[in-house]
Amino acid sequence: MPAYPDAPRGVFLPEILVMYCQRSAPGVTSGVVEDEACLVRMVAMPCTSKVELTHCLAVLERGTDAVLVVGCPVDTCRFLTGSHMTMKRIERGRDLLGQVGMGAERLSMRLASELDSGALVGLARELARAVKPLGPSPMKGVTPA
Amino acid sequence: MTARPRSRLQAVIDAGHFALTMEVGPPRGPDPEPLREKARMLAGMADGYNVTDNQTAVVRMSSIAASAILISSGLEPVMQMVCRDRNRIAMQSDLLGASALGVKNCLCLSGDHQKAGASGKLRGHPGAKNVFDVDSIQLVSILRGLRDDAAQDSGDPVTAPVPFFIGAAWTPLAPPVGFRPLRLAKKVEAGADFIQTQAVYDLEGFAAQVKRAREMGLTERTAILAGVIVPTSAGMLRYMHRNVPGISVPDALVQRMKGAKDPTAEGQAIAVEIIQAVRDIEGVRGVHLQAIEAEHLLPGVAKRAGLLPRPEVEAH
Amino acid sequence: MITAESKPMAELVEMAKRQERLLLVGCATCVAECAAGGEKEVLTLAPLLRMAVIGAGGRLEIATATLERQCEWEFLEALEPLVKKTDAIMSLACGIGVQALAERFSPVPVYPGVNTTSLCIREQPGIWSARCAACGDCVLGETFGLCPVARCAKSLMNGPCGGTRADGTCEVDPDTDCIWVKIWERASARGEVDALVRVRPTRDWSGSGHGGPKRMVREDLRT
Repeated sequence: MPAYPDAPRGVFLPEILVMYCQRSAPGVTSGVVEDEACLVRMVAMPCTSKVELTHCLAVLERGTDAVLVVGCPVDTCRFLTGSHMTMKRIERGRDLLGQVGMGAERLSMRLASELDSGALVGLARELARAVKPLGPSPMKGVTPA
Repeated sequence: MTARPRSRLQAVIDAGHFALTMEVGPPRGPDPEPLREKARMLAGMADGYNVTDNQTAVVRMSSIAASAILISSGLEPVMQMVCRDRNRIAMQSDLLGASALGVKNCLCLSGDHQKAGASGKLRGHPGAKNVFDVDSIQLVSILRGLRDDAAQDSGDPVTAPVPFFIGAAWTPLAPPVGFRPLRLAKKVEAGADFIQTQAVYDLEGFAAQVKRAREMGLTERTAILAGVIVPTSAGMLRYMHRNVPGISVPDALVQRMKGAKDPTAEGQAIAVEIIQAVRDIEGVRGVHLQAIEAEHLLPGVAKRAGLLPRPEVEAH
Repeated sequence: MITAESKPMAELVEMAKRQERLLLVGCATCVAECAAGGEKEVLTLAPLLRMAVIGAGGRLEIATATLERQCEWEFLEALEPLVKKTDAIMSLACGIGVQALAERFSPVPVYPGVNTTSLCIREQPGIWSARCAACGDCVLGETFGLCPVARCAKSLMNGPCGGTRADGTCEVDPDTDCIWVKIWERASARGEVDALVRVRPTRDWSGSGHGGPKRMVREDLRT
């Protein structure tokens, strides 16, 4: 995960990784969006059931400010229990992040359908607002282990 | 078998009298005075007084010491001993000590789990290591060996028989109900001379279990004392029904307490009725009467149930 | 399986703070099955520890590895190159694995990352419950394949205490069956309740840890 070196100095633009179920945002492709409030890296997943907590934590460990997982509503999950089980994993992750002092806010999950690119970025922007009070990740610029 | 000192409780039962035991909980402190006070209040009201052994896993004065204090106050203790806190070495040692102090009755119990101590306002010691080296039935066997064979559990001799009148508990209406008479049979087989039961409110269910015990010949071999707890409020009955395993309270009884103008008097009346009802059940040879933190109610209930004065018997 | 539970995060962080280089080692056998110390848990814990320590202004590098088993000497050798580059090891294995690492790689400090608790079966996903207490004197043949030592809160050998709840669960935990109810049911279903009537005498606990630290010798297998 590269840092965003061209962010204006003195302004905290949170870097947000969005892992989204491609069925919740049909037509949206993976990529990077430089929004005015945050820097969003979007990664399409076949289902959020493929999102492991280890992925989220590895990304946060490398200095990303927050991770957003976007899945389909529980009852329309194509893989039946995907969203439901991922929500539980994410909740556990939030608890652990709180315990280590990083802030539970840095990991979040939303359920939605029929999102376009703008709506997806909108969700990222909401998360950016939530993590802004925490300040930049203390892991930014730290050499990976 | 060596001649052994009889307890008053045993003498009463042997003489065919309807036995009466009560309960005296040791204090949560070193002062013996509260015990002596209870002893003064209850003296002459019962044949034996159960002294609980850190009941509900809450630390209290030891049942051995409290029993000795009761003896010095002229009451005959039924010392309770639980399997939670001691291994067979400590148990046998304590039994020798208790006998030396004049304790003649011992009630063998599994004991409430240490987690039970952390309820209400108390922290208890839920992190304690429990023992359960032996179970309550094995403890009964150990007492019988000490008494009848003057032998420890291992077979090693003790210098003289250790004369205890041996008791055990019975919860006839806890599941699996079919197992309960068999478990009673095991206690009798192990050597239980008397049985104190969980509190009875469901007379029909209780009578059915006693009937089964009778058919198995158990009521001939052991004296069953039915547990009676004086209710003091409808809430208490409801609480016991919901939370105390093995106690089921018919709703009619709860309603009766609820509608009572004077719940204390009504509760005493209910207790008297239960005593009279269990007395009519063939095979029940006494009652174990309790009032939770309301011991002052016991003499009145005993009197109205026609259980006073207690018969005079010859104990040693 | 041997089951373990993760230690509280604060305790783990305290251990992690003591040095700048930590080797976090999982075990792919029992503790992986009970989701306490397998590769997934290693990869979960490593970033969390780094974030905790670095977020608090400290320094911490973590190398990770997961061995097939930490309780067999042969499997430990693969760690040697990594141990050379660390100040301490945190093992997510059961107590056997922790001690094996501590012995093999002494004097490198080895910390336990989990609390080893019991011998369990996975009842269903996310739920493990005790099956064996390693008591050293198995009675399963007489208790219809249900262990009263491990599964009764009081290890009662002669039937249920008075604390069985109306629904057949244990007074100590409403989510745990009274195992004596289960034994009774199985005996009843087979028409063999008579097998439960005999008074079981006091047990010999010396085959377990109560007899002193266990040491088992098979002369025919010694080299």
